Amino acid sequence: MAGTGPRESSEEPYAAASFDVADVNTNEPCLFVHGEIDVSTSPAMREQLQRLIDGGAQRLAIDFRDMSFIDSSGLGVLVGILRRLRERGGSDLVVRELQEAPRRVFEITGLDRLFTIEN
Amino acid sequence: MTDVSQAPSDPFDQRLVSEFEEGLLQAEALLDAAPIGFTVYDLEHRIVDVNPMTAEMNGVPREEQRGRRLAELRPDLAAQVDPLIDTWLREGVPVTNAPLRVASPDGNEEWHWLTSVFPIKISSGEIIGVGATRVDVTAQMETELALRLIVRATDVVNTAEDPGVVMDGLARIAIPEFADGCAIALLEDDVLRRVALAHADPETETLLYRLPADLATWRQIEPVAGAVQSGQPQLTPRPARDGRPLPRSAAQVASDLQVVSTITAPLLIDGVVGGTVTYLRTQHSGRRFSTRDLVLVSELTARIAAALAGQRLRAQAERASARVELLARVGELIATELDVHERAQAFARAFVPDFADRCAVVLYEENATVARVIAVATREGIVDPPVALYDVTGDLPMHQAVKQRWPQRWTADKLQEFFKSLPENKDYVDWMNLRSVILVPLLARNEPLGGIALVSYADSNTHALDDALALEIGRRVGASLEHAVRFETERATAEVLQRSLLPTSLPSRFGLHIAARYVPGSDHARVGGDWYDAVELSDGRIVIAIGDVVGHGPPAAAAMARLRAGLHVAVLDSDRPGELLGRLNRYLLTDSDATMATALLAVHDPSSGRLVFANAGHPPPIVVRAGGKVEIIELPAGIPIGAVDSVSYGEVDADLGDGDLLVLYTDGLVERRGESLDVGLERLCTAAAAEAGDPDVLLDSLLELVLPDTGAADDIALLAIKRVIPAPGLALALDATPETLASLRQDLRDWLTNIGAHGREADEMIVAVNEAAANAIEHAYERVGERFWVEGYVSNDEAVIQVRDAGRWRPPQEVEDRGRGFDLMRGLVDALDVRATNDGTEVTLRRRLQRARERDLASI
Repeated sequence: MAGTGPRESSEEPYAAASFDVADVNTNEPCLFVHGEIDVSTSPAMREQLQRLIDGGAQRLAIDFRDMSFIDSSGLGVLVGILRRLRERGGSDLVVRELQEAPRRVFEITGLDRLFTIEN
Repeated sequence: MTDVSQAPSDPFDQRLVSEFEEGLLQAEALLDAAPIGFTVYDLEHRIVDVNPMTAEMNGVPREEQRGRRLAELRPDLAAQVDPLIDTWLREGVPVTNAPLRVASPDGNEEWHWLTSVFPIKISSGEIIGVGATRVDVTAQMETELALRLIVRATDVVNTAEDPGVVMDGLARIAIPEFADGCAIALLEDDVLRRVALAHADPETETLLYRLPADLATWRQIEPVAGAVQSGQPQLTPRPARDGRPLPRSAAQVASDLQVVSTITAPLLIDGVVGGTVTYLRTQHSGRRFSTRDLVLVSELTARIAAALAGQRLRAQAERASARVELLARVGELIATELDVHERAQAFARAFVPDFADRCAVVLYEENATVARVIAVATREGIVDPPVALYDVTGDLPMHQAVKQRWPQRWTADKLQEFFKSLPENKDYVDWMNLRSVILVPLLARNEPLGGIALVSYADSNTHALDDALALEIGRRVGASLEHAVRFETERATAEVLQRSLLPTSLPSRFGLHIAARYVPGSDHARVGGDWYDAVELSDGRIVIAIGDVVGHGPPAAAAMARLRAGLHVAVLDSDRPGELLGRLNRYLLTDSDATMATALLAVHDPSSGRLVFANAGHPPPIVVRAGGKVEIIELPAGIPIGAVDSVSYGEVDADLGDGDLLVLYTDGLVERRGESLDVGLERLCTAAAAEAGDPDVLLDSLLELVLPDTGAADDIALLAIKRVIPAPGLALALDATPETLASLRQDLRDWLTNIGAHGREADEMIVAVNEAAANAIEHAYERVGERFWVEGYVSNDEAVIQVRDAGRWRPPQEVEDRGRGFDLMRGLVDALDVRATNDGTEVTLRRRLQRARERDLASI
């Protein structure tokens, strides 16, 4: 292996995820996710979705058009939320506008069959 | 003149009588003898007297005419004459040469007379009577008509080109002045074949067309038989009643038309009765022919016969030249480089349309037990042959021809009968419209190969093909097709052999990208000579070889295999290309059967880029530098291996830089007939410069240089090697906190781009490494300030990435997400290796790069 030794990784962290919600007071509110979902940002996603369930939503939508990356921790959040939704009598967590790279992740783990994906 | 004192009941004006007597007494002798008719009428149309001529013309004795009116004696004449007299009397203008038409007493002929009417005056000027003269011009009219028709006939022959048009014109010239209808027919093979038909009335003409075009039973029609057998024209006033009864259809037509009279005359062509011309008169005109008309008919017939003789000569000349042309065409095709199907199609086409309307070429298969139609040509061009295979039995006409080794001619009847019994063949040819079928056997070295079927339809004008010519062509076509069949078999064998002897995969080395192509030549005689190979040495260097064995076919392919084996053995002992060539040379010389070969060897060190060449008569290699510049490596020519003992081969150094391409090729790529090698080389260099970059893409574009150009005659072998200095490895140290994952992903992406992994491939690898990194971060949660490491490199087109931490590994079942993480990793890489100890965990991910996968696919 060529190289002069381990290199310090870049200083600025890129990961940032931001969220906003639409249709909050309807029976299908939608969470818009922006950025990348990894171990550092998936807890925040969980929090947002949990808040919507607590608000009484029976059906949730999550819009991923602006999400470029998701890892297994992000998938875990979605699975957990769906379970909680169903425990409360709710029906479905709909995934919208899933992009190509994240879709691959859903496919490999079989989660593309668990969630309804609308594109 | 007789006694005029036999006065009529109403006495004439006496003055008239005395004037008449006196005046005419003097001319009596003249009038008596004159061939001109004279009549004297009084002003009330009563005949005073007539001369003998007039008496004859009127058909009434002289004495009975006196005092009578013409209307009482000859109403038909009076109908024409009286108005003339009245006109004169009224207008006072004398009538001169007015035409009269009158039927003969027996009704068979029509006569033409001219009459003049003039006043008879006395000295005072008073008109006391009317004189009329009459002259018979029938003969003159007929002569004039004859002349007119003859001129017309000459015109038709001289101005029309198409034989059909000429015949039609000749049939029409005598209508309607002479005849109501005309038919011209030719006698061929004892069958009377209609050539032209015409009638004054178009509807009747249509009716006449109902007569059969070919009349084999012409002997039963008496006038026709009589004309042909006697060589004399036959006049039949009432054909339906004379002689033997007509064949049913002809009789029917005759009665439909109400044929009144016919003349059938033989056409003497080249001194032999070659056909007939029939003129007919129907109720349409009502007149009958007379013997006088025979003269005109002879004249017209002679003209028609002359025209036909001329056409026949022309047709003979055309047929002769068509035969010569056919032989020439067939000869040309024999020499052409085509495969079996194309040759068969070309041969089938050669016969159409001059000698057949439809031609099929049939070949035997399976030891001559089944026959397959392989090509069919029609007037519209090549059509798909029927798919069926035919059993080779004795019955099918084709097989009889082959058995007897002689062309078979089957007439339409025979064939229709035969094929009616074979329902599956029914629709293949238009049986109802057949004229003839000729089956020519294809004989090759006196073995049956198949046959050619030539079909002619009834209404076409294909030339006859005589047996001798047919047989000769059958031999030539047979020999040519047999040669093509045999050659295709050989060629297929040689190609399979060739391909199986070339290396199926090339070394794939860290830093080297190798591509190869082999295309067999279209010149069948030269398949099998080219070869190439690449052998890895134990120290990472590689020996590359390309060459061209002299000779062709399986022997050349075998020689090529021996050379490859020889090279693999020789490299165990030597790594110098000059020495290697020497060994191969001695190796070939030990085998007395072996032939010579050109060869070019290169030894390459990918880590330093060095190249060492040695050449034995092969065209020079070219190097395409990374910037696009192309260089021809100058090497000494060298003697081909296997030619002479104790030859030494010199070596030449060169080098390949990062991104440079070495291209080796055989002369099929650059040699073109009529061109010097330099021109071909230059073309190669230009094309190579345009497409530097990927070796596979380059080789394909080089092939495109040559192949569209009617295909290369020679084999082509191509080899390209690109040197790529490996990209630097990846080495990162990160804090074991989740926040570092984002920058890890970015650095990974940069490195992946550097090594040529993009898009989806990169995305997937990033996901996998991210999972491993997330694990490492989790292992470190126990301790603050911990780090983890990510390292990567590329080897043999495989990306290898390792994620290492020093924390405590926790089994996946403990955290539900972890399981999913592992699935994800495993699904995105080719190999996942986890080594976990209490001192830390090492996860190694391997994935073959897309570019390598694509290359593998392309080489299949």
